[in-house]
Amino acid sequence: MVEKRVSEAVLLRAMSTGADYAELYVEDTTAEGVSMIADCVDSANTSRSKGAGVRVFCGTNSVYAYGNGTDEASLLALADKVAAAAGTARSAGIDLVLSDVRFEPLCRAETAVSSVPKKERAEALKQAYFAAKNYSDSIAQVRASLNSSVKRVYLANSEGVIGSDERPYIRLAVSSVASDGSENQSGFVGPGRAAGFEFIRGLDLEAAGREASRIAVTMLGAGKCPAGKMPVVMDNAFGGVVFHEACGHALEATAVGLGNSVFCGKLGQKIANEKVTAVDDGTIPGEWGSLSMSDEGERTQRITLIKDGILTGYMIDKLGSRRMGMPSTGSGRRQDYTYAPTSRMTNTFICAGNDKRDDIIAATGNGLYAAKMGGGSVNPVTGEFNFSVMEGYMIRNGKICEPVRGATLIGKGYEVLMNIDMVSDDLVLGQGMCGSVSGSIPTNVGQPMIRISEITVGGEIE
Amino acid sequence: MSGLGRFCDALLAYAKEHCDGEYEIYATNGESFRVEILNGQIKNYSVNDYAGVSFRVKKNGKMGYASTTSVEEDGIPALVSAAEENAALIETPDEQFIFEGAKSYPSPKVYGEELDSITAEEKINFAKELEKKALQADPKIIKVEGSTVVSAKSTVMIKNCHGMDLCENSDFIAAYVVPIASDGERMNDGFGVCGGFDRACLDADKAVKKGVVEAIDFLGAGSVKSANMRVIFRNSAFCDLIETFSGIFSSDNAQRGLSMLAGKEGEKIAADCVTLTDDATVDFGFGSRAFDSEGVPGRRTVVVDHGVLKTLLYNLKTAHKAGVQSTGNASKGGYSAPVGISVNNFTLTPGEKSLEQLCEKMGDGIMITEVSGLHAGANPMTGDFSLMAKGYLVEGGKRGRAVSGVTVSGNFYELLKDIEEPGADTYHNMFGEAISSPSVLMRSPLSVAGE
Repeated sequence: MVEKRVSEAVLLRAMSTGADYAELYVEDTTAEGVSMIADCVDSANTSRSKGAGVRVFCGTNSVYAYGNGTDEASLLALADKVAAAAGTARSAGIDLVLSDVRFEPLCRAETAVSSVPKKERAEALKQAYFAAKNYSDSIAQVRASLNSSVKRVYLANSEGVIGSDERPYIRLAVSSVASDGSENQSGFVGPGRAAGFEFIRGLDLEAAGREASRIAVTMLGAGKCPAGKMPVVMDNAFGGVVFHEACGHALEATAVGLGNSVFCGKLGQKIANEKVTAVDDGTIPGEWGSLSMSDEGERTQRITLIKDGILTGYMIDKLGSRRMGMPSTGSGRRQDYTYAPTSRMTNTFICAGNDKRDDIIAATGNGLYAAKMGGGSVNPVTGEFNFSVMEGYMIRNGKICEPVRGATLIGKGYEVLMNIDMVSDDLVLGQGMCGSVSGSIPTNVGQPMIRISEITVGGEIE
Repeated sequence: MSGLGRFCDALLAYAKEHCDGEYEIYATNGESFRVEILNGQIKNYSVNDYAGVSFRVKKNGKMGYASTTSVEEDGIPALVSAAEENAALIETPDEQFIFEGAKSYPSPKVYGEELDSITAEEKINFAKELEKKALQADPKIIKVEGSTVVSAKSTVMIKNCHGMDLCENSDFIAAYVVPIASDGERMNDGFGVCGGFDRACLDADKAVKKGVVEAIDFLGAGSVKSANMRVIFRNSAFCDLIETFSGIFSSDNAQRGLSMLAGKEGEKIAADCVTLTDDATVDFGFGSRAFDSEGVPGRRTVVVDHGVLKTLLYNLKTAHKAGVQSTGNASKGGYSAPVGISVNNFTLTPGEKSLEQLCEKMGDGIMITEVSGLHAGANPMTGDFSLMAKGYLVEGGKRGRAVSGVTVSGNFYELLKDIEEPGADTYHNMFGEAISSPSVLMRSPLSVAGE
């Protein structure tokens, strides 16, 4: 995307006032989306996002500038801006030799979405939409969308690396609303993959649509969830949002490198129940959170975060690496060129254990079964988190009983980790968008079914 | 600036030649600045230019969109044909409009000239001052996680086939500080912010005080026993709740069956003491603008008058469908997004009592100062919310100990009907939607889950 000669000139210019690291990032992304509501295609959009960012470090300080020009003059102007802000020193005789590094593509589009006629894409969306709409008479409204993008990124840095990556993404989202006239409930599914249109062709579109509506209809008849402390069984796939929020964010260098995480200085210590082993793995081919090349020009890794309850690793980007005195784990990510990269998750999940699903429910006696989780958030300083239960049921006498709505789970990450006392053998990943300081990025959460021996459930006071 | 202007002119000329439908360009560009200080040093510094152009075309009554950040003119044919292809996919019978323009437009002040004279060095020094003052404020403050100044300047342009040619410049500066308190065992963070359109708005002492109090008060704050309790939502917490549920006032949501206010215009939907207005025309409001995202003039709209829903918020499409006028609430969530609806400056009219007087009136209960997890624990469609909250117990009319780690649950539609009294202490939300609200005292108890 950029001539080597230009990249060299930009990096040298950026470092000309004393910076000890420089990086050029150029991106050209085309995104397309089509969405339906009220039985009609109501919106279709195409957007191209092209631009560049230049970043330098002076020790652990960072300066970043971005713009939408990617020609030589624009890139040099960005370099001048960061150089002006970085300092007033004069750097003499920087040796810079750039060489191409090949990043084996982990995520490929076998069928480029752009090669599929827009009408055919809309037809696929309609299959999911109408399956959701026709699921039940109580389905009042369905929204469905099919979004895809191809992100081409180029990176050159003063460590001598030139790398590039082409990242295809595709995701179906169906959101159903069930209504009985006085009350509404909603359900959602959003399967996605770092792949091309073959993902949609291989997906049971109607089953996806029906699932969104099934959740909404189930919750419509549900009573309110009782409040208080109780054991909670959380199902697999998007249930992993618990770990993502309660633990994942606090293991990012963004929090750890500045001493703002409850997990600082805890490497080698027990931070979780011994049933818990967890990883962040950006190397799984085609997965929603996978990357061939990080946004800092490094290979992604499989990072073991927790091994049998012992903290074994953090997710570290280049700046975090400097702050922590530990090697980068290839965890630098950003939404797009308008953000400087920082440490982020990829596919982050609790690994499969040995318990059986039926045994977990039976052993629980009385509590809450969270079949599907909604979103959540966390304060990394205090470890406090909260998230909503999209589809929940009471467990009574070791059996799953009536559905309940309005439940939220709140607690502190380090407490919950200790309280995960059963882990089943059925790991499944679930797709989400994670928002943090470097923007919104695709990440997978995941886990097998787990049990938390006690957690505060927000709901109705009896 | 000139690059974008040239691109728009070239795009307009190309569309005139090649489009057989109506068309419109919505373009934005600007500069942004951000500096974050840590330990007296610049931790992050960012200075940027951005631009974005959205082109939409109405063909056979259907609207298609395409957008780009690249102002290279060789991309124009692809941009136009993508919008036309997208228009051909649209099936919705709702008619969309390319506006012909109005005779006159309001001119709210949204550009603080004084900000142009604040240098990067001054901004850096202000961020340093925030950090220093926060560290000196109390021995319990062990560090400051971030001390940040952001500023931005932006231009919005709309040009279309009917000759509409609108342009508005705005700017903004804000600073925030995140002090962290420790008692040797636990840590807790606070958040203080200041900002606006002139030098005077950069009030370090005010921002530091709020952040430091928050960090210290909630250090080791305990929970409460689960109970139904009377509640005061402090002003900024109620702003956050209104923001989460502001979509219920959107006519688009109502027409799609996604708001329970559908068909309720003219009906009582809130307590007598509730008056909500939306006003795009106030000088230096965070949501002020001369024209909305369709080029319709900004105006003042009384949405709820003493409890009665006077009108929902409309854009051209939904107004046409309902047989009314647009209220000037067309908005885009970014230049590339299709036109939707949002509030401009949305304000709950204040009452007369101070926060202390509201506490006295309540007697016993909880004052909620912060709710979090709004995107997870609040359902904008049903109005149900169940949110992690912080605050203070109120006992015998006086503020008591700090409380955290509780969940407050309720329903926003019910909340509107159940407000006993709004206070006098209006807070203006600075990030996100421009919501203004005083503290409010609720009549009936809400469910507060703790231990």
